[in-house]
Amino acid sequence: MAGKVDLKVVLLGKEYGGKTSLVERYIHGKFNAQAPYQSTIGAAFGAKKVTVNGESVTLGIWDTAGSERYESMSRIYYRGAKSAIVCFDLTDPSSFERAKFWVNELKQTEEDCVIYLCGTKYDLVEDNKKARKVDASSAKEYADEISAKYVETSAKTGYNIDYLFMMIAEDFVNVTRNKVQANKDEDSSVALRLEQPPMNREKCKC
Amino acid sequence: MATKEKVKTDDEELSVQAPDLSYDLLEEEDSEEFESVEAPALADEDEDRSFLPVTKKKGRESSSSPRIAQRRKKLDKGGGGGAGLEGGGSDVSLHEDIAHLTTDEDHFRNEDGLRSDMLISLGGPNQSIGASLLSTMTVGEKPKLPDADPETAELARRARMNSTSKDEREFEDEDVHSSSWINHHKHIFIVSTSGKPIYSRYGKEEQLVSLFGIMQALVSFVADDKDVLRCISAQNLKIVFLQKPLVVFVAVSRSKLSENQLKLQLSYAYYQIISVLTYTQIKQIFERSPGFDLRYLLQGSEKFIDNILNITDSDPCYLLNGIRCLSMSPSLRQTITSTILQYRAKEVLFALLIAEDRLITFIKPKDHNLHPIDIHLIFNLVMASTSFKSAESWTPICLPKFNDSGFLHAYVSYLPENSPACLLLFSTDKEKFFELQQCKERIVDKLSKLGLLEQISNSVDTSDYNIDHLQAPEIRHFLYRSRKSYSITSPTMPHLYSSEEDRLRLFDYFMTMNQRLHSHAWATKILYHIGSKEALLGWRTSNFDLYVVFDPLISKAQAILLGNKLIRWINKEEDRLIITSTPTF
Ligand SMILES: Nc1nc2c(ncn2[C@@H]2O[C@H](COP(=O)(O)OP(=O)(O)OP(=O)(O)O)[C@@H](O)[C@H]2O)c(=O)[nH]1
Ligand SMILES: [Mg+2]
Repeated sequence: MAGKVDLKVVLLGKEYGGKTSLVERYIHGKFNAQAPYQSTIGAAFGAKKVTVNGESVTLGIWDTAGSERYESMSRIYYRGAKSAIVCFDLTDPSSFERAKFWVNELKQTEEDCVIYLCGTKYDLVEDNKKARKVDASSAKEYADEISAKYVETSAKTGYNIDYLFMMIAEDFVNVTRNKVQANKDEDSSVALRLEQPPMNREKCKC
Repeated sequence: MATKEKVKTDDEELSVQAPDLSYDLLEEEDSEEFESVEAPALADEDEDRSFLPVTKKKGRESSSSPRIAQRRKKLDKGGGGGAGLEGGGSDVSLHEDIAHLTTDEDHFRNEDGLRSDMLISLGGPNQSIGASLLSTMTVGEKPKLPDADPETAELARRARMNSTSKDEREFEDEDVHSSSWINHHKHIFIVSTSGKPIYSRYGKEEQLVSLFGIMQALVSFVADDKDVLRCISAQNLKIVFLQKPLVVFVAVSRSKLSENQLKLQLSYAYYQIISVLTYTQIKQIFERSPGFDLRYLLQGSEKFIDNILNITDSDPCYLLNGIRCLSMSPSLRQTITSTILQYRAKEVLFALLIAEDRLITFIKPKDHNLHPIDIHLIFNLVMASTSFKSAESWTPICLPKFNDSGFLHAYVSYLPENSPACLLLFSTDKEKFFELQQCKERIVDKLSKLGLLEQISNSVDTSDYNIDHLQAPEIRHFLYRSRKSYSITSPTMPHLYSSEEDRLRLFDYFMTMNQRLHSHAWATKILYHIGSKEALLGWRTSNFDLYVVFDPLISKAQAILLGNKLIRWINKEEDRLIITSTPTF
């Protein structure tokens, strides 16, 4: 599993929120409802390679512990992350509050990190409206407010899991490509500037 | 493993001529209670930081003072009963009121519902304390709890309420008024010096608030008189207090463990908490807000405290201050060790390879040591959580004996191919995950090239051994601890001891023998005990401690003969049974 990681993804959210299950489902394709809950200690690392438009991207995924005692140390794990999946449990309103805490933390310290707001355990609320404690519209509203994408997932059924990570990888590739493109453009404009007077700059607008 | 120890070569042959040994042979009746004596080898010594005034332990001398009589008088006046103070002589049964007040809700009533023979041992020479302690207790008020810091209290309350579920704790929901709760063999409570509940081994802390308050009141009451409350004994019940800065640990025990052994067990709980939070953090928190609810930060870690208490209750290694080693071929162990040494990244401070609670090998820098307690905490971390099995982890952990003020960062990963062996690499730098990950990859590659991964798994499966080939069926079991390397080995427990009850009896025997062999007061080197179910030999030299369990019908001379035979075999097999030297870099 060692090797170069192209994209650092971090999962944050309240304990028992379903982060480990989400990653397990994504990396190993499994979910064990029988296994007793085991809180994560510190953080677990996993890597997965995906292909986006023929380009291979290695995701380095940090599944952090939700326990409060790690809060002061959480920077170790999210520092330099390009994407963050901020999870909350659709059946637990307090986990949504906790998600807001993490969003604020990220906004303050990791400006460049792209945030994905993720409502977990969708299978529990799918057929049971009463179990749902955070409604989709207010979650979506909040996501818009912080300009994040909003997804609801289920580790149990696999619903939206691949979709979520694929979206993350694609966004990354598109952003980096744009950036590379932007850099190239900048470079060439600089080069142009050096050689020619700055009037001839239509090129950039295309 | 940890501290350096001068190795003197003793005469490591037991003499068969019993008369020569008679001066230090102690024979005991099965029923006889082993008396509690001074500190065992590993009594906790870190009392220096206590915020309470620490007075030297003088148990016996202090109570022989003439003021005892005066105190007794006061007691008599106060309640019609009285307390026999340690060493004070006569046992006067304690008054009912006092009994009630100790627990408020009769939690610790003895079977017959009466509390008699209560002994209170204090750390210091204070004389009037017993009387005033007991007289306040008779007031019959619930001690007032200090006002909680409303903010943190609220935080913790919310955190708890909102927790949809936590790691399951077996006894968390036990009714604290049920008889099963009262009758637990050993209760452990942790309370802050300001009276805030931190942990109860059984039942929810919320339901025990008044009990916690009383514990705190007892401790601070004694502290007011510049004394230290160490132990209260009532018939077959011992209540032992371990006072650490800002936190008090209390054991309420029906077991045979001595006060010091119970203290050591409490120390394990203390170190476990430090391991999760560091001493510095706890200190900062409590200095900032004394009413802080520490459970808020310990949430999710209770299982580590539960687990360390359960292990220290059943595995003798923990209280005997030694590390159980995986028995394996010495050349295999050697190759693994040198591979780890060879591929060690410069960021690695310690590296350990373990299989559950058995150490395969470890390496350390020349100028640092790993204390057995720290290794036990590492075992506990890995054993109490299966979450390491599914992925590589990077986790902060404080090893209190190494440095209790900061975290080390541990890279934890099981070897591939579903190996039962778990590799832990420790670094002081929190940024070095990928370096350690690579280091592990290199070690694993090499081991796999040498074909050792499978051999390691096999060794774990076959590490249990018996001593049938010694052709000494009278030897049922033994436990050997090297005093040089702190390594422990013992064979598989025989079928005779398959019941919990039998195993616990052996556990108690080992503990009592250890207490005897290592107490300053007794300085016994050899101990022989004939019980109704087994005979036991305890033997201490400057190189090892050996505890042997024999058939009860064996003669003393025969036991000595077999003890010698056993130790010869162990010496011959030492490289396989234990880790004899610690490779350093
Ligand atoms: N029904 C259902 N249960 C889920 C789902 N995801 C997680 N769970 C359950 O929720 C509990 C917590 O899941 P984890 O993935 O361990 O939670 P976590 O966020 O990693 O928790 P920490 O490591 O403590 O931060 C477990 O008992 C899971 O089985 C889901 O999609 N559906
Ligand atoms: Mg987790």
